[in-house]
Amino acid sequence: MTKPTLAVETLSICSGCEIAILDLHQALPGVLDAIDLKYIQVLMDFREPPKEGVTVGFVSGGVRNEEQVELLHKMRERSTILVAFGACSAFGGIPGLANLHTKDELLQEVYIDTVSTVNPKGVIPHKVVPPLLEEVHPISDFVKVDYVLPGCPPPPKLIAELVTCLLEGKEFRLEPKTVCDQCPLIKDEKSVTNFIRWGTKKIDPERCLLEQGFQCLGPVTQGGCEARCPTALAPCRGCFGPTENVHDQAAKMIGAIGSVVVQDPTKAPAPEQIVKEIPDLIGTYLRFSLAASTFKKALHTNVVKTKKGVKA
Amino acid sequence: MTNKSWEPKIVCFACRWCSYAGADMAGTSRIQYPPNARVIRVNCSGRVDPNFILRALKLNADGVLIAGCHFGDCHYVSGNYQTSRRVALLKEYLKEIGIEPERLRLEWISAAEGQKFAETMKAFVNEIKLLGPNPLANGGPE
Amino acid sequence: MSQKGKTIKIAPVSRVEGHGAVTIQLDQQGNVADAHFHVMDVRGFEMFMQNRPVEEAQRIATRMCGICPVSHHLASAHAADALYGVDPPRTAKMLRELMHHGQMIHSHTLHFFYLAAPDLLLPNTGPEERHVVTLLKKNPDLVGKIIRLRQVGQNLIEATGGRAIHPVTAQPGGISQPLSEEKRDDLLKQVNEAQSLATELLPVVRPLLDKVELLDELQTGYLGLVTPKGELEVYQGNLRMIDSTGKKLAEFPVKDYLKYIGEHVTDYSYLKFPFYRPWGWPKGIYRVGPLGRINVADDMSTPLAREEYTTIKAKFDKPWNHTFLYHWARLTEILNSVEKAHQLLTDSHITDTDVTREFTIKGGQGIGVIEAPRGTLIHHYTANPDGILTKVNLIVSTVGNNGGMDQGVKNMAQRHIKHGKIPHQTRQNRSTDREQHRNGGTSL
Repeated sequence: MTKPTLAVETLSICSGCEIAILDLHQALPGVLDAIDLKYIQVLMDFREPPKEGVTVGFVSGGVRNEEQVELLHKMRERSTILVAFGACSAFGGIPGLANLHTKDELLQEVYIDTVSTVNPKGVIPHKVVPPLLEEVHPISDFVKVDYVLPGCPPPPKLIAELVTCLLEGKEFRLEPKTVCDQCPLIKDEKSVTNFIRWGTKKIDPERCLLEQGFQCLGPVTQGGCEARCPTALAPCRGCFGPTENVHDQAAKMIGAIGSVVVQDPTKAPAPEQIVKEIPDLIGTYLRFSLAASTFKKALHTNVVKTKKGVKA
Repeated sequence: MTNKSWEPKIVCFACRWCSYAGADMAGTSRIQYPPNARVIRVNCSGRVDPNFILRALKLNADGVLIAGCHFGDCHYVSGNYQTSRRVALLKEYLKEIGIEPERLRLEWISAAEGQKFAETMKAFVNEIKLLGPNPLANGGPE
Repeated sequence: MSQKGKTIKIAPVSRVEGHGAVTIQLDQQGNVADAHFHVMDVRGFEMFMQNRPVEEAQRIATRMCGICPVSHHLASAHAADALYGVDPPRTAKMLRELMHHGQMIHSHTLHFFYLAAPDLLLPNTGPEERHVVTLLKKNPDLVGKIIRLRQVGQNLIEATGGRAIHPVTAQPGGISQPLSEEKRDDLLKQVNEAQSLATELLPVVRPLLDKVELLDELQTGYLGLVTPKGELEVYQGNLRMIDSTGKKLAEFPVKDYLKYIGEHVTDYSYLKFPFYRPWGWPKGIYRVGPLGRINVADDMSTPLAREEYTTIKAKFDKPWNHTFLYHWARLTEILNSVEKAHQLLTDSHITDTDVTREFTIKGGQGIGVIEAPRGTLIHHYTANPDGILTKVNLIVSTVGNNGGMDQGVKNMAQRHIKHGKIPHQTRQNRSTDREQHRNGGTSL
């Protein structure tokens, strides 16, 4: 029997997902023994996935430019099983926050308005480099995805699990649990009276961060990471995306905020007060999943171009 | 989409213990109000998942009205308080994403307030008419 | 305009981080008229970090680079400390620095042994086989050591940063968690092991490190951090800029960077090109990273690294304009970081539990700098009174080498392509252009 094959295509990336594969460390040689790695641009000198196709194709990174759309389609055609590998591929990831701006605003800011840029002629790169799309997309906007391995990046342990499942012909599925379900911090009662900005108050190292008033997306984020951030006393920012069957991580978090506040109406903060205490709702609640959320992007015709924080 | 025949589509989530009965009251009292709303009965305004509201707007509703019990009257004690917080945050969400927050409205309407239900609906429809169609309407899914 | 001939395009450029391409423009005689290195993607962090809270930037900026997320995490923390005017406790600074040395060990090991070494250690292998997986099959013992060395680096990051890739613990005024004595003891063991591994691996590759003729010399300026004594520094200090003859042009605190550094934009790359401002573009091209740092520094501060540095110095006069010496400088820095990590872990204050300072949200400016594995990294934030970012300027290490990479690609093309003949992919031209652009990476 011939060995199953693996190819990794990288779209708009930071390379963290590829490093996560290498972070299998001592387990890596075993994995490479079981599955034949045919294409991974970061490590090997092949320019495209093999023409004869591969058993498993991982795609990391979201879709930011026209060339990446082509690369993605090619990868889909050549892979029997296609995996959205990591948060960007699955939900657009942090670069998806660019969807709060138009493509032209972005180019103007980066190449003209940044303070150290010296560009008197207003040159915007356009030769050889592929044109940007209007917005960032998760790969599922373009192709059928067979499996999603979320995380920014996916934990090496889950990568090994996924590969093992695929090699054994089993379905891979994350358990229907949230980050909270795996978090060691103690949750006692829903008694938040006000929300506080990260770092402005000492952390109680034993207690649930959300119940201490810090924004933590644990209750609305797919588990599987073993709550690695809250365990290190840093609140969850949702890199595993929403739990199954939830469209919008922010909507779910808004639901959670509604009920985490102290229930006694005489002690609960006014709704307007809560809004004020969460200064960047979209950037916090859709940190990784804006490009896959209900509206996917800001509707620019309606966004009044004022800096936030100076709320009416 | 700005032709004169356009009429706003309103989705109304109404609590069965109060506002839904209030809407019934408006009907049995023969109080006239605009027929733009599709009223969905829910067990409590607190049952309205924020995802439902976003989904309604995504599917081209021009406005969403949540109608629940007055404070102190919630059949489940605190459902309406939770709703008030969620709606405030959802309005902020809509504002940041570029949808007029006025398209989402929260009202407390008891079972006896048929008149208030009708007036709320009139006022909301007028307000939405001024705002125009859902900005997603062009090219958005029906 | 000279008459144009054929254009050769190499894309994607492999064994580098991110998306790059090389184009070579031939004239009618088939000689190289021009050549460029193109970075093919831009994500726009300078745009979408705006409107985010200052204290969230540390966890957003990491995603600029998955190989050096620690550097972005900490440069961002430095900028946020400055903006909010909060000075972290001593132990917090030590833990951050320890995290950063873990980053250096991981990234440098990856860069040299996983990406570059196959060219040097597998000279007679075809391009399809010339990668770390082949190396693994041929010499599992050697690769086992490489894997372990990088793992120790990642473990240092995970212990201090919460996760090895995209750490989460640094915050304005400190770091979210202290280091337990139990963890400290374990890390110390690992660092000792890393030191043995590094000293075993170096002799294997050292005979290959002086083959400077494989890559062209490039006359550029250099930039890097130095200690007050002028030694090589990767975590904090003043920036020093020298010219290609080694003359010191400037030494300045990072808050003055705008006086010394500008960024040029071309129409053919999404990556900007920084330059020494007083000299303008393109005269002011400078390079950063291991070679930049070692060139600006007068000495190393730890014994093993100093010994290696002295060996190189005995062979080559400073400043080292040989691009190939990036490798040797990089390996010297692995020793430096292993030794520094050891020093930090044997300092009794490393396990102190006072690791955060509270701060008050306010507006203002904050500029932070750090030496990322591939070079000087600057984060410059402006915030409104609610602590919301209104302007973000990032000079990432990648851009620091962009001018050098672009120039290097042209030099290599001119050296190897004559009268329309493109040489067969020999060992030289494979390992060559690569080091030029491997010093790059993803764009903003």
